[in-house]
Amino acid sequence: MPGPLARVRPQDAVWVAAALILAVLVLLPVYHLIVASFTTRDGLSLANYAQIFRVRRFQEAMLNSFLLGVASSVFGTAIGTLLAWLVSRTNMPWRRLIRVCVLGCFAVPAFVNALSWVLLAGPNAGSLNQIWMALTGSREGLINIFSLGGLIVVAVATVFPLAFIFMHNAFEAMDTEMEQAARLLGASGIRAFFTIALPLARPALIAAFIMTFLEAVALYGAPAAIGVPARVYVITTQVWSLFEYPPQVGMAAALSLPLALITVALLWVQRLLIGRRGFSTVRGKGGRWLRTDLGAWRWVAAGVAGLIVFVTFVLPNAVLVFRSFYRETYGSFSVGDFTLAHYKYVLFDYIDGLPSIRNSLVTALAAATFAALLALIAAFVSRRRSVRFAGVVAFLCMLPLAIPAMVFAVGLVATYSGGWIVLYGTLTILALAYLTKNLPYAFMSCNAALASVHTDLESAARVLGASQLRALRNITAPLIRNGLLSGWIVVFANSLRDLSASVLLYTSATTVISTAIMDVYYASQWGAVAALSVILLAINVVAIAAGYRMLGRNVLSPNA
Amino acid sequence: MVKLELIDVVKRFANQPQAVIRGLSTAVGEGQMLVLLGPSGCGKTTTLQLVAGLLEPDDGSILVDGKQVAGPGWGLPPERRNLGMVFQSYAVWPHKTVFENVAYGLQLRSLSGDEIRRRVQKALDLVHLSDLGARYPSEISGGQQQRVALARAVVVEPSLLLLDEPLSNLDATLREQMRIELKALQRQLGLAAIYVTHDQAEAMVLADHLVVMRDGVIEQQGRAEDVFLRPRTGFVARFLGVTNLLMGRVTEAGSRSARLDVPGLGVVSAFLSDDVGRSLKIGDAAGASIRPLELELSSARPELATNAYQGRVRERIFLGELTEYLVESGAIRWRVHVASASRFAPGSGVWISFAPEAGTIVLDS
Amino acid sequence: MFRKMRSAQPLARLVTWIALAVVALAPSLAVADGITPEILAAAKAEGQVTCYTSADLVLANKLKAAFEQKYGIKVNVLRQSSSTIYNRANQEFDLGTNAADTIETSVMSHFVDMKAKKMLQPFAPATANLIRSAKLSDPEHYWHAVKLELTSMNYNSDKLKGDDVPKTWKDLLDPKYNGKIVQGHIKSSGDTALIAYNLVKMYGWEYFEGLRKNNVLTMQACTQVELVARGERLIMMCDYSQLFTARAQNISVIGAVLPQDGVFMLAGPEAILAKAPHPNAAKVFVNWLFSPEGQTIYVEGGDAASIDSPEMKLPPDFPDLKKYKLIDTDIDDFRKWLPGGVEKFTELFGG
Repeated sequence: MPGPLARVRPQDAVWVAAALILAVLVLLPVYHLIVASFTTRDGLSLANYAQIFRVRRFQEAMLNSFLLGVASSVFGTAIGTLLAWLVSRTNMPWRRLIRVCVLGCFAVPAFVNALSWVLLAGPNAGSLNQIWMALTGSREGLINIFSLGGLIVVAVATVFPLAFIFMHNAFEAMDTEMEQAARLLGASGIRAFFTIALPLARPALIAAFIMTFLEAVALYGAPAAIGVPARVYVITTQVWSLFEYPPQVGMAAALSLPLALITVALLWVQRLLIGRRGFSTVRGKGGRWLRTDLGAWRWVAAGVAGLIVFVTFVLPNAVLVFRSFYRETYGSFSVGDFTLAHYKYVLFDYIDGLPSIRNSLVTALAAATFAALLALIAAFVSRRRSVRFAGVVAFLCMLPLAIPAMVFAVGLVATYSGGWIVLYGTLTILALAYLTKNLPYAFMSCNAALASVHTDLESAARVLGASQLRALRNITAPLIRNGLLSGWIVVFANSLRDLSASVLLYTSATTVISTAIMDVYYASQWGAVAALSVILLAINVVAIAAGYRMLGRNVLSPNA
Repeated sequence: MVKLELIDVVKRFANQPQAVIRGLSTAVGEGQMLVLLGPSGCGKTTTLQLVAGLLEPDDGSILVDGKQVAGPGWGLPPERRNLGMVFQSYAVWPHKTVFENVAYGLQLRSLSGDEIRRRVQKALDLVHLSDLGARYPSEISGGQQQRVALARAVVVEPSLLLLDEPLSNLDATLREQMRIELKALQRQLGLAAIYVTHDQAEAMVLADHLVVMRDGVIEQQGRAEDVFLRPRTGFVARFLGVTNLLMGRVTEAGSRSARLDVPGLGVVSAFLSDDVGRSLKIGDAAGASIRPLELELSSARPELATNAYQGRVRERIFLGELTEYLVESGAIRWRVHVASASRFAPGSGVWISFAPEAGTIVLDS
Repeated sequence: MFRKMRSAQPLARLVTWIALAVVALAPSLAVADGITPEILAAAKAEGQVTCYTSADLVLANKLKAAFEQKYGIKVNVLRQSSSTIYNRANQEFDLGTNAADTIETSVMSHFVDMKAKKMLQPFAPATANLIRSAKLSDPEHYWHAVKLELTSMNYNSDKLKGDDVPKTWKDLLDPKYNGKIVQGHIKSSGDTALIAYNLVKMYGWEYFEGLRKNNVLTMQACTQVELVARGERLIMMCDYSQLFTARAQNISVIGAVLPQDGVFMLAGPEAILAKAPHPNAAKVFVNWLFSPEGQTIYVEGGDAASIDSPEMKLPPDFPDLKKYKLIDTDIDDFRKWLPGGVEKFTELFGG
């Protein structure tokens, strides 16, 4: 009779290898971080934590981060949900356009967004304020972007597309018969939405809240461009400040780990509330359904949605595009000042121009491809429960969410800068950072896609003689192609627009577009800033558009 | 030759206190169709998954073709057991054509292209889908998809065919038709098969060997006719068709018959099988099961009346060839089926009687 | 592949500049190494040199273009703020990666620390003995100041004219400049650190409290040409070279004024890193930076040259520095003051 060894199958090696890779990718930097947080000049102690909670600066930073996170998630989710409902469930006009614009927000780096906002809403010379002053004759502008309120506005504008995607998904997949039953009983469209649809979408709503909170708290670019001048420091900018030489890695780690704990707790709460389905949204028969007729209000709705999208997507990017083709002399406007000089400079004269574009593409492609592969295997293992450590794999994949990208980068530096693998100064460490930071999104995408594939489809193949690996390749992978692709695109776009991790990991040989933008920003060369930003945008837009072509409107949704 | 043997199989799931399968033992002979019948949650699908290798038993063993494929805590993976399986959801792959679906198993066995084509066509002919090879599952009906699943399972010439409620998603007429076709196909191919269902009519049509399951154990198994006519427990009696179950205490137990004292009714005399008789002694609680068709109604007291009771007709329901009477005898409610020629008006007094061999003593459950 | 940057200004005849506030008399001790033919040949074989610098990007590119044209050796420039560059160099040194050959920031303190950490290698350019003050060089030639930034106020000349233009640092406390000033942050800007040190010495911390009452905007870097040109703020506390940075981008609305109550001179040292991957090219480069040719480019960019040579001429519209209080900074005193200064500054302005 075959003994226990008969249970060890060759293909189990794949799962084990995947789990090991995950552990190394995710846990090693976290381990180094934790150790660092307890490390002081005098050895291991709690001194760093004592400092963190005692010094007013740090207390303020933690409070500000928390405020920023909560405000961003509340408003971001509200706006995202409203837009998702309008686009997916009502007969509001311009639906497709609005959806495209919201999805387009994923092409823009948050840092660049913030810079555009400074141009728009600087208290003295911001374009919006100038229009206001011209219209009302007031001597003061309307909005001061250099304030906590300004930072929150920019953060909300940055994170609401994420909430949109979760809720849009949920609404699309929902079984409308439930709402129809309510309508038949006399409830109006809006009432049916609030009392039936929204509660049904509770898992997605919870996910949206949590994800927008996490994203807002991890922002570095916007707080640097807007918060710093406003004297509003958050954890990320404070961590950056702690990296001024001599870098106080211990303090930086101690400052970020409480945040990581909170997010782990949030994710755990979410799992409790949603159960095993975890991060997938409501699944129903979906299909064709009735749209709520808004009547005359639909034009109001279109106006509101259009305004939101205009302010968050169209305006900032239009400003950038304009600036990239215009030679600004701050004198009077002249058509003759339109020029391609900025692009010429950025592509041919600026030493980091072409190399940074090349580096960005290489690292983003690598990160996206490997993330999709790893996520596929991990989702398979965790969903099919074929191995004992299924839950651990899922946890590892989601853990990077809890750690802000910049902090994770610190861990990466600590891990790969000495000892047996030296990756600092290579493109590999950048790709590793992008891969690990975005693994949760790829995982969620594959997970949700896998959920829609009935286990019987794989079992049928197995009974016919296919090994688990073979079944994954022949049956499951083709069927979740959409989910895989969607996850790939998300990782690609996010890698391209990352700044917080890149800024710590790059060297003169490995600049990427976002760090190049930052460098020329600090050198006060706005033409170059605009040109590089537009190039970055263009690449992302191409990627997302290609995905849109292949996947339709679910291009960025975890449920594709 | 025995194709499949399950010996004392036990299966537990982590989050449930009671084991899902608690010591299951049965066997399937060559060319035989074994039907696992039971209410939902009784463990029949789990049993099938254990046989397929999609689950591993916690205790006991499973043998296919005399070779052990699973034991306590281990089992050969499904791809090494050479079985065929038809799922309740059909599990026909939407991204492959009908031909590709059926050919998949053969491709895994590294057959030549020509051989594959030949065998796939043969299988498609068998299930009457000869011309649909190039279609995609989304382009054919549910019933046709089910046949594709069937063709896919049999084309690889498995040792055993497993069917998990394959007809439950079809409408009633199609179901009845498919039932017959399935049985004919199984006979024609001489394949041993295990068929899982909760539909007792279906079970009785299909089964060479019927296994009635409940809560993870086998309540009774045998030929469908035997199980139907001579149920072992009250549960089996009720599950397989309608029956009248009289609960009482054993007052006498002989070699072929026994007597029960049923409160509110009197003495009931019925057939006692050896199996049941082994588990019963005087004074035990037990039941007597009598099928509605076995009961006779008369306005006057019958002559040879070992089991004759008075009652009042409560309702008369015309069923076509038969008429159903709901009769009350004190606390006992009878369901009686008689030929429609006779008429008894509701409210009238009647005598219900049956021959002792017509009733069966069953264990209380 | 790299196209030459077109020069922003026609070259003008330069005037020798004598008056410095503090001029040490003894020239540096050791022999100036300069460049030998062997070093030059080795440099050409190396083919490239990587420079980390906090100098303004336009200036850096001009230097790069001129050097490349003269020697045919490629220059890789990484330009970031002083503190960022310094952090990076230290980080790389700690990790053992040697990406850079030379380093230049505007914080002398950095170089004292780097020398102590053995990050630098000594090299005396040919004109080392022409450096105008011993305080501007390391006695063992580990580093030398390659330029002197003149801290000054830059302003929007479109919106501020005549009497509205501030004349002294003290003027900035006037309520009429409320919400109109921008400064850098002491942690990341060498200019700001020096300005803070000197203004606190002159006026005490009340000065900065007054600035805060005047709602000064504190960015990370003080180089905010765009911000001021747009009119978001009207005055920046930075250095004179910003004027030329603006002109290089055809921005004519930036003006500069050297404050009457003190022009603090920020020495920007240059050094070769100990583990430079292209040591010979580095030597050739550094030597050239200190040559009259190299120094001229610095001056054209609005800084003061660190060498005193008859071959150097100032642009005609360069202000007559004799008219101003040029203030040198004692490096040791500054270093003693800095930690406390950083603490107080961040208390006032965050970070």
